[in-house]
Amino acid sequence: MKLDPRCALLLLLSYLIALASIQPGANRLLLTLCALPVVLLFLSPVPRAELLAQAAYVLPFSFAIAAVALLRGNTAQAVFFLLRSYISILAVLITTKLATTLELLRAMERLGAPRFLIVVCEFVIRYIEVLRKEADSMRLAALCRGAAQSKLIAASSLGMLFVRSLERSTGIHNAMLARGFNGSLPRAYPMQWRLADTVALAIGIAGIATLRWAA
Amino acid sequence: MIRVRDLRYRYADSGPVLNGIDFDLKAGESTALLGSNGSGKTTFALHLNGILQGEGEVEVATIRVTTATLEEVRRKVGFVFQSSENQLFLPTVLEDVMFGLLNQGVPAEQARSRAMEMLERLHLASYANRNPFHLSAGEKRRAAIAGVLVMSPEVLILDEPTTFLDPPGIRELAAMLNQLPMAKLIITHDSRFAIDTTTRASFFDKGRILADGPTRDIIQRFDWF
Amino acid sequence: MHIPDGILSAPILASFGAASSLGVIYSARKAEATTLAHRIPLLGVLGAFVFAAQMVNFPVGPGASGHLLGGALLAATIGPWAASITMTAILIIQALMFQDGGVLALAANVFNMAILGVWLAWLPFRALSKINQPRLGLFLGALLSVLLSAVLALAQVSLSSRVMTQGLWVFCLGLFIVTGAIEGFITLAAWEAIERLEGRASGQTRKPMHLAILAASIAIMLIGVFFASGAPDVLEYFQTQAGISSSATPFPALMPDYEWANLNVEWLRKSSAGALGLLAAFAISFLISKFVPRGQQD
Ligand SMILES: Nc1ncnc2c1ncn2[C@@H]1O[C@H](COP(=O)(O)OP(=O)(O)O)[C@@H](O)[C@H]1O
Ligand SMILES: [Mg+2]
Repeated sequence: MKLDPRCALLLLLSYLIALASIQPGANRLLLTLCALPVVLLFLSPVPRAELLAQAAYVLPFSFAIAAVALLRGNTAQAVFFLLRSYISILAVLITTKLATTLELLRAMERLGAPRFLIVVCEFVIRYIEVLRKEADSMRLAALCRGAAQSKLIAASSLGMLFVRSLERSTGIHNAMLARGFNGSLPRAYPMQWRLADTVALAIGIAGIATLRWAA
Repeated sequence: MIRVRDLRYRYADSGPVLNGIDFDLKAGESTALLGSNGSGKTTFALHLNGILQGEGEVEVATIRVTTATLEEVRRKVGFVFQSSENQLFLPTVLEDVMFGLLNQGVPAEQARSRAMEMLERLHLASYANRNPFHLSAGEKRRAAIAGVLVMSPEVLILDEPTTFLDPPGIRELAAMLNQLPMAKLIITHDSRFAIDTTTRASFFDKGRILADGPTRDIIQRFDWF
Repeated sequence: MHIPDGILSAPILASFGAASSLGVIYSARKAEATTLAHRIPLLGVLGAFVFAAQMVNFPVGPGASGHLLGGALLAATIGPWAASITMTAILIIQALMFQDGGVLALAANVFNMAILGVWLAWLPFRALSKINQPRLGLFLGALLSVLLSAVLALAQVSLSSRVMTQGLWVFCLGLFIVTGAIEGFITLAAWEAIERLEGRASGQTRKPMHLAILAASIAIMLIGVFFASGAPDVLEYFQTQAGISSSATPFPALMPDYEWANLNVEWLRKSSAGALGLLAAFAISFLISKFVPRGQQD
């Protein structure tokens, strides 16, 4: 059974807030809270090894902080920042596997984020790969002319990419008008908050709060 | 169905692009627009649903195209743009096909089922929740057409619909278009496709219609193979 | 600089979260009211443009290349409100799809890059455009925007983790100035290319520009160093407050992730000469990148 994306998002935020509220160095408490995503990781249908590896992406950043803490002889803090950033990103990754980016964005809209912002996000998602492909073919074209390392080529690629983006947005707007667009995008996607979501949210928050404050 | 008299247009930063176009399209008829790149075919077509408004008269189904009638006109005219990538602007195929219906005020659930039906008809049902980027050129074109057909237009305008399609894709598209009963205006550089899908053709040159007549005759006359 | 989750403390997250929410909600209103309907796709496509632009490697000196961050270019082309919304959208998608920056950390990242960063780029651009120096304004704006939003990010990290040292601050500041200057060059180059493509006249003010840009960069660098040597008092204060003694020495290897600064400098990565070396390198690569490739461009 799939949770409502709003429920997933709220649980993620509650968890991250609970993590953020821990004092640096309180490693036992942090470890207790780590249990949640780890349990979730093994209960949900997600590619475990992949997520565990992907979460390591954050480590270079937290290594820097951990290293400074280590240099000052504060091992507990070094471990703390490494662990907390790793477990946070793991929680985010699990959530993005359980709900799509699009669903999470729409959950944000339903929870009060400005619709204008979410619509812009949707356009970005739609056209990211299109423009990347365009940029890539420009890069190849520059390479073929043997000029990959030229500032001029780089600048004119950027300029070209930008101007084409402007043209594209006019084309998109025309296509929208042609199908009766009148200034506001219709929003219609099913999102059903069921009893199960209320239960999941209540249990989740209770669980997080217990681990964080009752222990 | 479409009646255009002495249409003239220039873009803000260009010379005259349309220099007095007279054009007629009867209900149920299919016409091809031929002519070289930059001759003004797309610019002309954009006047038929009021995206551009120049000097002269444009009538669609006896409605004069003006700012006041835009909504009505756009319900009657379905426009399939040259770039499917631009036309399919929503993050999933299904939502994109629903877009026109929702703009017309069709309730969401009904719009969803009509859009699904249309996708099934065009063999795209399995792509409903995909990002359009991941479709092949032919599938993108069909999805773009689905989003227009689902609005049941009375005239269908297609701007270079064979762009990026392979020969089987082009044949498939021609067969599909031939099954549609409404009037069609097809801009194309593919003379074979024009012959397969239209009975008449108009030849554009430098913002004028040089000639019109049966598609084969026009193609022969201008050596347009 | 995209701060990940798990670094920032609750008070920092709460205060910047509140500021970001207000800022974004207000910007969304302004952007919606002041932009025409046809700009909705424009903002989205330009957001995607910024992602794609990151694939264009921009040579900025021997062995070094950078890529566009985009805040300044967006501010100058679509105005600050719309640029803030587009940058926010970019940050949200980076956090959700690419794990670039945290989700809860958006509270700080949005404020730093989408609000402060955009306005810091916009204000100089606008002010200097009025006295007919848009290119200098654009460069300065891009530099300031990257520099100060990174400084703010580092301050947030520093206050949250209480582990930063003065040496590290000086080092980072040097890095940020280089990054900011690179962003300034790339933004300016892209802007000029756009003007050329759109057929707008440009080039009258070219010659004096170089000197002005050079002077501006050096001035900012000096101010930065001045502040860095003055700031530690404040930082030390917070650190002693937190009961941590400050004994560490600056050690650049502690900052292995140059992607932070969107900068990819092989020879720097290996060097551990510290802040001074970095600033010197900055000056050299700045001068070289500024004057050597001119021949190619004209
Ligand atoms: N948005 C525009 N702004 C300025 N000029 C344009 C624009 N679109 C098209 N043109 C110019 O108008 C002329 C006709 O273009 P178009 O109608 O696209 O021709 P076709 O579709 O027959 O290839 C061309 O010279 C083109 O450069
Ligand atoms: Mg055309």
